[in-house]
Amino acid sequence: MTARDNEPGAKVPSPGAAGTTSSTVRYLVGYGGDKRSREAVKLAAVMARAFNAQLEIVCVLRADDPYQQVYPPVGDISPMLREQASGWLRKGLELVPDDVPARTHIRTSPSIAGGLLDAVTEFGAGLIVVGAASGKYTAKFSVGPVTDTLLHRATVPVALTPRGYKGTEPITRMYAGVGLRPGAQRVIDVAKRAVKRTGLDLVLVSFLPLDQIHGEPEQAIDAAREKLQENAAEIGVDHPVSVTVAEGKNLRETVTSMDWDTGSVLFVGSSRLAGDRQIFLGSTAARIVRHLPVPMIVLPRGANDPSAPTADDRHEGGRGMGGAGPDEEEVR
Amino acid sequence: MSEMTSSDTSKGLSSGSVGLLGAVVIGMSCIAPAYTLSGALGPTAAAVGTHLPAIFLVGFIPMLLVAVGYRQLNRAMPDSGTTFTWTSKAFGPWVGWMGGWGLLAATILVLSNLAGIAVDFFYLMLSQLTGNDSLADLARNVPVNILTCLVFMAGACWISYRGMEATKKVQYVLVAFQIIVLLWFAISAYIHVANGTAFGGLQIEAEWFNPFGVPSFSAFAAGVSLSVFIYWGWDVVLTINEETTGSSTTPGKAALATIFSIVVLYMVIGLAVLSFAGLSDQGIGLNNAEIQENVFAALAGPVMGPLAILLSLAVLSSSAASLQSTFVSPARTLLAMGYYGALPKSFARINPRFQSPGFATVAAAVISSLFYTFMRIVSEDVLWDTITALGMMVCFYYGVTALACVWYFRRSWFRSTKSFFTNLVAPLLGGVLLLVFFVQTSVDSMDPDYGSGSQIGGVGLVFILGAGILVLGLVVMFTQYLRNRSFFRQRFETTELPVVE
Repeated sequence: MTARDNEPGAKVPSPGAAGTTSSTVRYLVGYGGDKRSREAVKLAAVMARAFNAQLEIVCVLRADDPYQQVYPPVGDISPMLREQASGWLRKGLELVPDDVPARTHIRTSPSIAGGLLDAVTEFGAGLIVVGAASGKYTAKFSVGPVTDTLLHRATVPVALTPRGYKGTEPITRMYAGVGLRPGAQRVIDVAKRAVKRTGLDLVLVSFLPLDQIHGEPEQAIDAAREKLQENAAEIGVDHPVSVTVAEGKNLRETVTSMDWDTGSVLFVGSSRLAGDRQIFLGSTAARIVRHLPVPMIVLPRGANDPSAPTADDRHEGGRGMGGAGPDEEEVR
Repeated sequence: MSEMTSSDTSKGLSSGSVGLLGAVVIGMSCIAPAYTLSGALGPTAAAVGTHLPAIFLVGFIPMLLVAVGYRQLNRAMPDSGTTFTWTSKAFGPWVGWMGGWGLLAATILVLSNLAGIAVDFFYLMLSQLTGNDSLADLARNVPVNILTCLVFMAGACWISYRGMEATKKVQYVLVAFQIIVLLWFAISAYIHVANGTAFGGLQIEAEWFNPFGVPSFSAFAAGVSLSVFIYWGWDVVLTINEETTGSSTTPGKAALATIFSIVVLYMVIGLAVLSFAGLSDQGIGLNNAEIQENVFAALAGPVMGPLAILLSLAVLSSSAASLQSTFVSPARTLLAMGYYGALPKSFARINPRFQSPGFATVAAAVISSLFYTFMRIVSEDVLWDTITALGMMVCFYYGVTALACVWYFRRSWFRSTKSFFTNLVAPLLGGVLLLVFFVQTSVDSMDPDYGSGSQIGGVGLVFILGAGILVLGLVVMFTQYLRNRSFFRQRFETTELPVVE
């Protein structure tokens, strides 16, 4: 442990615990000292437990734009900012249970999103966890400018923490949002691999807002269910996979009327506009997240190469088997 | 842990590297020539008459000397607080505290003045836009004026609180716009003079450039105090980090380039205004007290005709931009003082969402607004009085800072010829000169007829302002001493570390 001055702290994993090797799965938490950031740490900790990952809690300080000089000059305030940020990070670290290895870092960048993306590369992180935007909004998750950038530029999955997330329950169930248009394959693949290794419950879900359906609702629902069942069958017989078609008169009701399991997360894919291995939040997903009471994980679009390595059985047998779907991306 | 917690690798320099031109633009935007000239031309002409060009040339010298010291200190101690931390380190906490207070007071004064000028030009621009002259008079209506000013302050505070910053492009556009419009103004004025259609129509004389022709030392001191204000902002170029510019010579070159351009610009404008308007105390003559506190507002129409609105826009945008960048300064000084325990800890609070010193920013806004409201009610010529008091305050804290440089580097005075000049001669001379001007102006300003002629109980308002601010500083300092003595008991390293340079 050689924490530099600017590294406010680290929790040393207990000896022999999984996750200290160089192939450790790392989750990056974008942390800013506010309430929403603390919720993000809670989510990251819960996910790290479920998927056996290690946390890198990063606070990005915005560097002054040299073109905006302060006059009269007052010198560099970054040492004070850093000190304050270490205080925030210490508080954030306290939220992480002792059995989850976590470290904290301070980075400086002209843009917070840019700094987080740099940190993803630096730590080889497999997932970014962020909180909802600060401020008073009624939406469960409002996307601030930082998250917005991440959701359109990141090359790793982004987990969005709903407002007011408590993090008291472990993750026992995964929902995979399956669209009805082509392109859903990515989510199915990820879900398939994740369920194979973690043994968590998997529910394939399609959202069917009736205001967007042409023709008979009954027919559409049946068609959707049929499709989901096909997908479920594809995932395999070893694990029971349930399917749900969420319906409502509009998307909002579709999402809110569903009985979400509190210990769950929802995976969704990227829009087809996304570049190779990149995230691009689709418009439906963007609307879902505003009402979703559980965390949502947006996956980047898969590489064009469908035979991307999937073998990742280093944690086989554990309770939280390493590398759930999202972590697949880390294996390059 | 096997992989190391790696160091801070990305400082984001590649995206924000500043070249020579960029540094000049930054310097220009901090000087805000359109705003500065509008506020300072009148009071300076009132003090030194036609010797205005001479004072503009000479007034720069103490500034330059002090700036040399600034650069030395900034290299040795780039941490926050500048004057406050530097003088604390050189002379101990008490003097350091007062130095920091002087800087704070200057920024509060300039904020009031900036906002005041912005209000004038805001209504002037409205009247130019609508062709309705009565709108321009709204600025003279005290409640309307105060209210508008408070709105501007609140806006600037909100922007600073949220940590929003003007980008490179915005700065380039603002600076280019100011310079073009100012030159346009000057050329139009010269054309009027040549055609004999100017109000004053003076011919430029060599005597105008003779600083020894200024009738009295008092007038000279007043003129220099004011020209310290007009160059205030230039030294920012020196504090732009070498890392930021990517070269150790850029700040020096940029400082020279900036000062050369600004002196030329000031000469061109100063001469234009002087020869166009003359020194009559009637109409738009520079000695007419009615127009002195905001010269461009009065001259724009007669000089530029229908295009006068461009000048309004230039001054308005330059004071608005300055208002915003100046807002951050007292907030950060308060932050530094709170951080070191020289003020209550709440000033050191940083808002996690915007990463800005929230409490300190709001405090700066509230103090400036209260100050402006008070001044607007008490004084007949707020802008003039604040500019004069500001000149005094700048002389004070610059002087103190320069002497701090001399003392801090005392062990390296005779290390080399260069060190002899940069650590001893230049800052000592500059500091002593500025403090002499400070004392002279303070003494003179006791006279109720001084400057704009505002007074309270037979004592000049400018003196009350200057002295009042410093006395208030002493009071706040002792209060803080009684509340929390840790800062005042701190032992500072009062000389530079041997490893520097």
